[in-house]
Amino acid sequence: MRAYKKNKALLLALFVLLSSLSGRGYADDRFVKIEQAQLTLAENKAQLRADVTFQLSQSAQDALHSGIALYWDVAIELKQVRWGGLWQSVLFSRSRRYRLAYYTLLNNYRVKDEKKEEVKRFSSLQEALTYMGQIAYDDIPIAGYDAKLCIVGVLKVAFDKEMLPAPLRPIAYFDSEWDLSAAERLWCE
Amino acid sequence: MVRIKVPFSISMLIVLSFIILSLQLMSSAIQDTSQLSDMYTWLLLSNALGTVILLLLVGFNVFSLARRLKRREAGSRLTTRIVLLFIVLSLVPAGVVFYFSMQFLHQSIDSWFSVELDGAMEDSLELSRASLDQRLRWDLKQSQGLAETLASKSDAEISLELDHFREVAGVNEVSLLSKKGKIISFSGLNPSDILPSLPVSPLFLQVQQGNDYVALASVNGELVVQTVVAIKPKNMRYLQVIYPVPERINDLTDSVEFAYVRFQEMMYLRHSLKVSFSLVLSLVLLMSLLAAISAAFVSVRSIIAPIRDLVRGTQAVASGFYGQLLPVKRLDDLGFLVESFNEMVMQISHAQDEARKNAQEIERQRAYLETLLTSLTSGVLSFDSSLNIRTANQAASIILHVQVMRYYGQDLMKLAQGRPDLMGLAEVVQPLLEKSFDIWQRNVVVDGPEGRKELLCQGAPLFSTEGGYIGAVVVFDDITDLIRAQKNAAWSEVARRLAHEIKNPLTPIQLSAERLQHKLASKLEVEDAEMLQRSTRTIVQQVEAMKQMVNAFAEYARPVHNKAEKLNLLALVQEVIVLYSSDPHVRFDLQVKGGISLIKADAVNIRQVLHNLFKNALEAMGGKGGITVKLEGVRQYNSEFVRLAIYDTGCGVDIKQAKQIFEPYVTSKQKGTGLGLAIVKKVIEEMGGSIRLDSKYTQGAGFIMQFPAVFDRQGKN
Repeated sequence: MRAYKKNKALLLALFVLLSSLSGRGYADDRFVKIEQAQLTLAENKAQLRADVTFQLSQSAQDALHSGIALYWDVAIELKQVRWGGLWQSVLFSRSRRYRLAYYTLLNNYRVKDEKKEEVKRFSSLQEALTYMGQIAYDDIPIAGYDAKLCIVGVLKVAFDKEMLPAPLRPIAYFDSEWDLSAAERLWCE
Repeated sequence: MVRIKVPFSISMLIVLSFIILSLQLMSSAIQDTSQLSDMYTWLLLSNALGTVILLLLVGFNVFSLARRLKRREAGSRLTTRIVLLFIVLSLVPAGVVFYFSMQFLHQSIDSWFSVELDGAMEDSLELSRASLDQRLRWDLKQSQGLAETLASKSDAEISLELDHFREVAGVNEVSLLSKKGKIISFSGLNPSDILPSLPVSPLFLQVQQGNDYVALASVNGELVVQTVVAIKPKNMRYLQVIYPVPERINDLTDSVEFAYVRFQEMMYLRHSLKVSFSLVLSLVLLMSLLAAISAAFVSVRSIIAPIRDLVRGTQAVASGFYGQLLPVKRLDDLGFLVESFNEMVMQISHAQDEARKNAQEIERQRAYLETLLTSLTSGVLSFDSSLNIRTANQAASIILHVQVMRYYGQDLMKLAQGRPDLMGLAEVVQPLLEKSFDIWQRNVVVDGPEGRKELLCQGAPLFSTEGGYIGAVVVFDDITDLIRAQKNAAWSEVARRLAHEIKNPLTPIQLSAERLQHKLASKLEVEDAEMLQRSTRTIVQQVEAMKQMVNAFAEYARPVHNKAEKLNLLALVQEVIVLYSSDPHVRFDLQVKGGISLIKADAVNIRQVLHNLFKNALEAMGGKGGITVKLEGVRQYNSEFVRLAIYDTGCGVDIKQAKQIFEPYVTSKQKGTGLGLAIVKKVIEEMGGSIRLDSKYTQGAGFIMQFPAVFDRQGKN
């Protein structure tokens, strides 16, 4: 029994270590928070509106203004739980990857959608963050969904610490200033 | 199944190679430009995991060593010392290198970011900005000039001439915008473009308020200058002109911005770089230390193994087992040591065999000597150099009536303390042992519990082969019987001579006296005749008395007629007592203890002994008093005896005569011959018994007789 407890404690410590190192298993909404997420259904189509508040810690702002680009992954998934939870039917899954960078010479901020290769320029940081926080998907195809069951929406906003420069990563793993991910939002429509 | 065992050195080399490779990869990954940068986290984790594994390995070894130390296992202390030595030897240089590496690293990183360099970077950026500002102002002025040129023209005219204006001005795009910001006409370098490359709407509000707009923008990665100016005087139309930035300026500003951003990034990462490099260095130090300690533990194991074998071998030798030889696994000094140990063990084993044989021989000799001493009738006592008793044979215990063995390690005086009768012996022998360095001989009389004994003692000092004094030996014989036999023989000779020389002339003397009486009585006067008669009567009476005395001596000298047979002593005593019990003045008290009373003796002789003793008692008591007779069985020297004691209430025995009371012609009576007790003693001793005077009895005379007990076929006495 004692050995089991020791092993359990060891596994828990390893899990916490790996979780904190991966940077994806823990978020406290201190800087990035999903304010609201709403799904509107209309005949095999759905419309998603989500409002995410992005704020940068002082460390992140300093890094940004020192030319370090910051990356977030925004993932949305719509699914229905069937057979009493034994099976999940994924209706829609999409993700975006934002790159926020500051350009010294032009003194502007640029938000780039890495998938769409689309760049937006902003003269202030707040404008850029607000832009990233407005998440909208129109005409989401949800054909085949069961109208009797609710559609579960899962929204994740994760800051990618692995894209930080290598020397900064060990600090970012343990510094709460770099917890720039939002807690996962799960809701049912 | 064949198991391939990888040598330890190769295993350690592989592990160390992995560690060094992993650390090298992590070190490279810190540099952001490296392709390994993406693997940095995993490399860090793998190194941390390696460190933890090494830490666990070392921890296990330390725990194991602590347990061995607690159990005081062989080689554990040496292992501790060697491991500590390894740690110190690896920690000190590694620590020094670590310290100076850290210093060098921090100073090197700090040196990258001097104030001058920072200022130069800021200045170059500012210069770039100033250059671009100058360009902006120039382009704005050019746009304002173009707007003035177009002020008098209609929208249609402007639209028709827009391409011309663009080509003349050498710009990328020219757009005519309405008051509300809608595009009236557009001219661009690429004929297929129908819309401006840069949106106007976000900044149109500023322009509507009468402020001309100019700013740098980026189109397809190329810097451009965007200007929006009002076409005066009515401000009803606006003109957007996109100017290209010369390629050279574009490249230079890109280069300056890249360098500045990179510099800023490095400035920002300065602390992180220090932390990361320190982390790598610390990991290198820690893993090196742990690897060294692990290597120390494993190396020590191979060093300690032959030592542990040696300790086991030594313990086996210490416990007397010489058969186990240690395997020689190495050809170094330890192997030589093991070989020497094996040789030593073989020699010890051989010597042990020889010693065992010698010991057996000595033991055989000792047993032979002991047998010899035991079979001796003489008592032998040996003493060590301190004159304490070392050994004694069985005869010594029998003669002295004491278990001499109990007094081993003590001197004679100690032995005599519990036995006052032996004090005389001790007082004679002890000084001789202390002072005499030559052979000596003494006769010692001991009044023991069995009566008076005469011992002939002979002593000699003992010397070792080197001539050192190692003790002494005393041999003593009980010569009581020999002396007695000599005395008896002498008295027998006296009796024989008396009978021959005195008894023969007595008859002629008596006959001559009677004849004188017969011949002369009638011839003499009455008075003379009476005198003659008295004289001849006296002669005859004295001759008769002399005859009786000679007969008594003859009786004493004559061999005892011993017709020994089983005799119930109790019945005989009762029978004799009955003869004397008719006298009312004498009181007999017979006390019997135990059921043993059978002896082997001649009943006639024993009856004579009893009569002699009873008569003596009656005479001593003057015909009035008490006689106590005690009969009991006793066990002495592993033999059964019947003891008969007779006590009277008479005048007792004079202490001066006590020692010679059993010798002939010793008597306290006026008419006695002095042969009664001598005859009693002779008769008893002829029958294997003994008699002695009980010196402790003080109310009269007491005699104790002892006869060997005999048993019938059923083992009953």
